[in-house]
Amino acid sequence: MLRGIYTGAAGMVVQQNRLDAISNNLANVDTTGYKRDTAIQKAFPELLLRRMSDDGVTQFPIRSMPVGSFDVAPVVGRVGTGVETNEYFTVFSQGALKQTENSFDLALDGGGFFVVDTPYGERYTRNGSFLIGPEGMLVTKQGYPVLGEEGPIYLKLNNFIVDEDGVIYENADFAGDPRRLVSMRENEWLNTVEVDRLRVVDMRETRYLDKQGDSLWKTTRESGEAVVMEEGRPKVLQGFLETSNVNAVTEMVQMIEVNRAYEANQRVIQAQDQSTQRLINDVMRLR
Amino acid sequence: MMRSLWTAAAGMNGQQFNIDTIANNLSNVNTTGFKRNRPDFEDLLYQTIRMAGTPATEDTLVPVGVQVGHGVRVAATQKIHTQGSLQNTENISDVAIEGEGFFRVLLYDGTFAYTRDGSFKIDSNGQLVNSNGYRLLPEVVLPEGFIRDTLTISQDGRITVKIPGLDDPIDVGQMELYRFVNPAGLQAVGDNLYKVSSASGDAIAGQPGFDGMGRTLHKFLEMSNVQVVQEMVNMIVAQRAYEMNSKAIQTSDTMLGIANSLKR
Repeated sequence: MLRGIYTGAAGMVVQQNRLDAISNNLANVDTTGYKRDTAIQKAFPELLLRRMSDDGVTQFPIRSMPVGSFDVAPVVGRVGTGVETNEYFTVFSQGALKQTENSFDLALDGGGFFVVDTPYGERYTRNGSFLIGPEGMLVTKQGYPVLGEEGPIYLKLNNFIVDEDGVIYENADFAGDPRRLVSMRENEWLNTVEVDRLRVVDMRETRYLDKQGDSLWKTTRESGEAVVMEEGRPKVLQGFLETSNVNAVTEMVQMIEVNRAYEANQRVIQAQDQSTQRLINDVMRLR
Repeated sequence: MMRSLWTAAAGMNGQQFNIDTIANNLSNVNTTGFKRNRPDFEDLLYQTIRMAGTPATEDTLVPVGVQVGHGVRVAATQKIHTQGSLQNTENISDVAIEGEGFFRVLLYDGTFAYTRDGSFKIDSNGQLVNSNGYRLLPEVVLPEGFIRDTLTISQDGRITVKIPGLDDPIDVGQMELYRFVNPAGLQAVGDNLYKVSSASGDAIAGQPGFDGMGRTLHKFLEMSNVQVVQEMVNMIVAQRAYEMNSKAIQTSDTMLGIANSLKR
């Protein structure tokens, strides 16, 4: 009936979608390795309006004189038909690093992802709060093994060091027997050997990664395969965690903006409603 | 109705849990052998509104889907097993572990529990028990009529005591410590006790001071490893995060109100 009502409604729906993203960011303000989402909108197709029953020729009293164009159905202009949510864009900016002094906490300073071996295939994460499993394997909080370049990584507490390149070293003197645990005091690092290097990967287009929840991402056809990073490899920091990159101030400001934009769109609908009311009740009043 | 309401509610729940953990850490700031907890959060599953890779036109694909998150959940509460500071108590039956390892005690139901709390007592039979009366294993029974002040526990866990009439102290037992591949996987059962779980791995026994075990320090107690400043900072963060999530709920509510007022 009225084009503007639906345009306004589309605006309101989009603002709701934006608030969904903001709420999710705020809920994850404390989540390790979380990357914030922003909702991105696109315009609905625009319509070309023409004056159908008229041409550009105006009849003056003396002679006919062209004004504007000579088109038979001249273009009036374009009109938009609203807006829709196009994408939730994940901002992969670096989160702040928090020191934890827990040797199993790893953080990536720079781009890239850790590789996690799940039963559903390889997944990628920035959440480096790992643990050691009962078999001595480095695992995530869900118990999925964290992969090095040669597969799962077997470690012992107090007997491993990760350097900034992600290379894991251990003291070979304590490496053999899995039931021989090591204390910090006795480990003098006399026989340091390289165990493996953490697989730190990147994709061609991280934008197109599929979010899986549980801090995990999955590659898609558009994101490209995960490739082990050599150039531009991020620094791996042991004893640190990457906090979420949600900026509370921006989110609050956006929330205010969403609220007001929502209100403005509501006013648009109300205005349309009022003019329709005027048309039906006042203009065409039958006496 | 409005997804953001539940998302923000999940956020508030998460922060409430965060505060619960912080409060527990702070209330145990003076508990012997207490190890602080750390909650770890993860994002909840995502709802896919539009699949990536669906055809947009005859020969192009939608490159990126529309996925929206549903909030946050607690992935784990992790015990941080760092060393607590040591306090000299001058009490003859106090032992602290400096380094790795746990004492083993025998529960009333015959199962084992593990503890870092070395404030042992001597019961009426002359046996070393913990504050709940659970026996320390391997059992240590002090001989009748021993001289209290001569009880000595060496750094490698040897317990000696003098009895009247003998010049040399006599050996009454050897302490053992127990370690786990993944101590964070131990199940805390309260009373400063932990139980073995499938995540922690089996207990590995050893003599104090050898094979990666910590040393036993006589007349010392291990304090909790809670850092008050850190907890306070965490509390501020948690409270503000809670507040922000409540604002998201308020905004959702206002917006619903606006939508409601469309129809007058």
